[in-house]
Amino acid sequence: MVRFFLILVLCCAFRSVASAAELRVSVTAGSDEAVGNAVISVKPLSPNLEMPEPVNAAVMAQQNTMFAPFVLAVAVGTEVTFPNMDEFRHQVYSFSKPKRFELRLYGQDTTNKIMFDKPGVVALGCNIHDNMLAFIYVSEHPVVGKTDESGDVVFSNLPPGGYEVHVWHPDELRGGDDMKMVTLRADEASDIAFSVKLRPVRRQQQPPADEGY
Amino acid sequence: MPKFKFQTKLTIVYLALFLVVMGVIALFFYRSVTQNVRDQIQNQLGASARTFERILDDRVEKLSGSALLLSRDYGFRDAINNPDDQATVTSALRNHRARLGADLAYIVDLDDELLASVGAEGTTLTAAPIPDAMKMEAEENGSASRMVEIGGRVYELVVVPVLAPIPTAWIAFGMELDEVTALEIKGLSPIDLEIAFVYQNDRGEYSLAGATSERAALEAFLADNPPVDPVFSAQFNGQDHLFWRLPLHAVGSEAEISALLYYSIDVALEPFDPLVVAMVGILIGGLLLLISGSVIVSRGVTRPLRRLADAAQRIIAGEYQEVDAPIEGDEVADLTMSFNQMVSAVQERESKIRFQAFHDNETGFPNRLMFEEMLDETIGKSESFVVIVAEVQQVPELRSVLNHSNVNDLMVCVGERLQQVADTGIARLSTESFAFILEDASEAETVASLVMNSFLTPFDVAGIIIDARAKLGLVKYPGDGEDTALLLRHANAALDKGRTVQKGYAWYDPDSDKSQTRRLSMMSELRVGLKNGEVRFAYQPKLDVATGKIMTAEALVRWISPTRGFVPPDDFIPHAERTGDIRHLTEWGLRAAIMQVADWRSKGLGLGVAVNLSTSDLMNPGLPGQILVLLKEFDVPAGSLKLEVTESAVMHDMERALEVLNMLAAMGLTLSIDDYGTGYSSLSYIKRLPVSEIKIDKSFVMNLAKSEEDNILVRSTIELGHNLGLKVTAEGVEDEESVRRLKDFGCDTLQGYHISRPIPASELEKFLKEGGYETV
Repeated sequence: MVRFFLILVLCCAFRSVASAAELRVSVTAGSDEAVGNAVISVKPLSPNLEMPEPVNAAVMAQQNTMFAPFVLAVAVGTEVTFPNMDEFRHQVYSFSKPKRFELRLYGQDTTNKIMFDKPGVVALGCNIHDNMLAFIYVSEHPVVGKTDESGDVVFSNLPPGGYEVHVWHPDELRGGDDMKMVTLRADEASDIAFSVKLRPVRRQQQPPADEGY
Repeated sequence: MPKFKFQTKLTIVYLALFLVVMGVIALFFYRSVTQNVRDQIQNQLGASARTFERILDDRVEKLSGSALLLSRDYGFRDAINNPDDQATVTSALRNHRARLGADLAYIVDLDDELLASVGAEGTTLTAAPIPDAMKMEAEENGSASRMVEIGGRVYELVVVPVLAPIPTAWIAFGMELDEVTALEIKGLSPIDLEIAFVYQNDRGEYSLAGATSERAALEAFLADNPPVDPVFSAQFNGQDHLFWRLPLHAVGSEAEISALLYYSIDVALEPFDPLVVAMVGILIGGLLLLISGSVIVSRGVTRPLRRLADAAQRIIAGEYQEVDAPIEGDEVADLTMSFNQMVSAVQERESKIRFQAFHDNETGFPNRLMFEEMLDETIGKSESFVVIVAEVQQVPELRSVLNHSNVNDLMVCVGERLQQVADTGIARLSTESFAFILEDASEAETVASLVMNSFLTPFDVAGIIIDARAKLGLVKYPGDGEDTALLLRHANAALDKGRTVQKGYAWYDPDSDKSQTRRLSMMSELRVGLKNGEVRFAYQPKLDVATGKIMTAEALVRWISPTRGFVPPDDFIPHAERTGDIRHLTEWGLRAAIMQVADWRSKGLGLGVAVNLSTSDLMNPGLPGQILVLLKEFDVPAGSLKLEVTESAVMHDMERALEVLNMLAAMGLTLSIDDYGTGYSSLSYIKRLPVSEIKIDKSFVMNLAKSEEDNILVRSTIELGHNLGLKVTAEGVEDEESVRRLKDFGCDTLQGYHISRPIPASELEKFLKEGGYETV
């Protein structure tokens, strides 16, 4: 299923390679600390721009008593599948305003799908395993991605034009870069660097307390 | 510097030492007790503070545990995240607050909007905004707790996040630190400490949030004594208190909130009050004991010392008495023993000295001093008695034939015989005389006779049979004198008389004694007379038979006193000899004689002068030098001066007399024996004398014309003298017949009234000229 999803994304990327602009975003915190898991969403300033079709399917797996990925960036209207890879059951919930839901105790045999139709941050937890934590960033913009461990993300195949580039991070504090404007030219690569402020203690999924037993 | 008695000194020293020691003990005691008490209080306060912290921790744990439970409740979380379900949230909160007994509970959302709040009955509360740091801490650790002051009350606030799964809201539970809490902790403390909760308000002042007692007083106290130090002591409510400040603020708190635990040091010291009383009691008791002890000790020293001092005073007064040693073995006893030894030694020595003082060391008989004392005593107790003085005769003569120790032994024998005869205590009054007292005056004459008779028996002294004679003088008390001195003087006077009477003893005769006193005053007059020229020489010429010329004149002293008139030499010379005034007379006489010779020589007269020497002159070894000086002074040849000495003068101490005579003879002076025939008249001793002439006493010459006996004596004496190579002079030549016979006998020189009376020098010169006796 994952492999399938990846192939799908790559096909989409190759499709509109001609006359496309490239946006390279890097996110740092403090003194050049590469910030991974930062969600970058790109909003065209002109509604006339022909944006690539958003990917409207994503996966938030539960594996080894952890969510994977920790941060999932999706566009509005994306249906996220919550496959349980563990041999025991999970009960995933969200009290976040964009999407309140609860997936009652389910095992590997159950396929749960949730449609995220409102923009916002959805914090995910598991009623059974307190350590499990994940975020789904539901972007109102069609183009959304997240930085890798080196804090970089590259958007290719964007039509030239003006854009708002937004950054979000689960540990983000006020006072850092929030949004930047950029004009992309055809066949050119533009760089945007965000410097964000993060809380000193990062939110992350702890390994399960009873791991190893 | 004032002088203190030993007792006072000792007491002062002891007192000072005692006070110093007590002071040090008291100081040490006070310091250690207060320090100890402070330490104990501090420990107790510290322990209570830890208990308090523990209690708080427990409460926080309880609160946070409960809050956590609530925050994890799915239904509760659901309700919180459901904007339409606030009633459920509030009711759940109320339920938990009641269950925990918390004083307040509230929930805020991420934007600090109050979602719900419930308080204890009757409390109106304003929910305190939750600080970001606390939220952060709570999110990280699950919960956070902090002291907060809300409206003058202090709360222990516990905050937990409501996780969904990230924090979506904050639950806060508050438990007030009030009197109840304080009393609870107070109840857990072993000491009755007091607790107060204070906080710093916006102006930095310390305010009181709760206290176990004395709220008002504490408020005032805090205003004056901001509790800054962790441990401090201060006056509170009139008592010294020890304070322990337990800071209750959590990390990064804005306002300082503390619990004050305190306890009165004075109260803690109260159990020691009886000890202080006991100490004061010991001090007073110790002082009394010490004073009485030092008095006893010092008395143990001063009393025997005083006794010794008193004894010493008594000894000064002559009363020898031993002192009892108080206690055996101590220094005072040693001193007393030494003192007693000293007393007996002094006593012994004194009695020895006394014995020596009161006894004659030659014979061991009581001496004159003791006899005087005895006499004093007898005068005091007897109505009448008789004192007899016995004098041994011719002692000088005895001395010349016996040695010194023999004379001493003789005296001992004499004393013993007297004692035997008189049957009473004998004292040696002088070298030659003894004395004793007869209580029965009627026996006096009998005893005197017995004594005289007893001397008829010779004394045997070391094999030498000695015939000694005694003369006695008797005085009776009270008739002859009222006191010792007078009695003894009169006894001497009686002795003087006794010497002359046939029976050898005499009673004191007041009439004859008067001349004695007269003679004494005469001597002082003589001394004056010598200076004033009252004394002169008369010169009696000595006719040289062979040449018919006058070669020498004998200088005879003539004293014409302005008060007494002419004083015969026999009246004053013996007394002058006895009083020593003869010295002055000799001095004068030698000078006058030599001056006269010099005068005659200047006038062309070669006349020598003969001067009589007395016994004491012969005893004077300075005499030859004296004469030599005079001879030189007046340039007179030694041959012109003749010296005449009597036999008895020489015999008094022949050895000494010989010394002087030999020197005089060596000087070239002519020496004559005067009054030859009246004394020993022993030619054997004359042989030893460096004399060149003997003068036959006038008593033999005066009756030469009538007495055949005297003729024989004079003739044989002249012959004897010539045989010894001596010139012979006859004195007292008073008639022509005597002159004729003396010439027949071969007498060398004639002297007497028949030739000339003693006449003044000027008359002599005339007499020589007219009689054709001049020599050149």
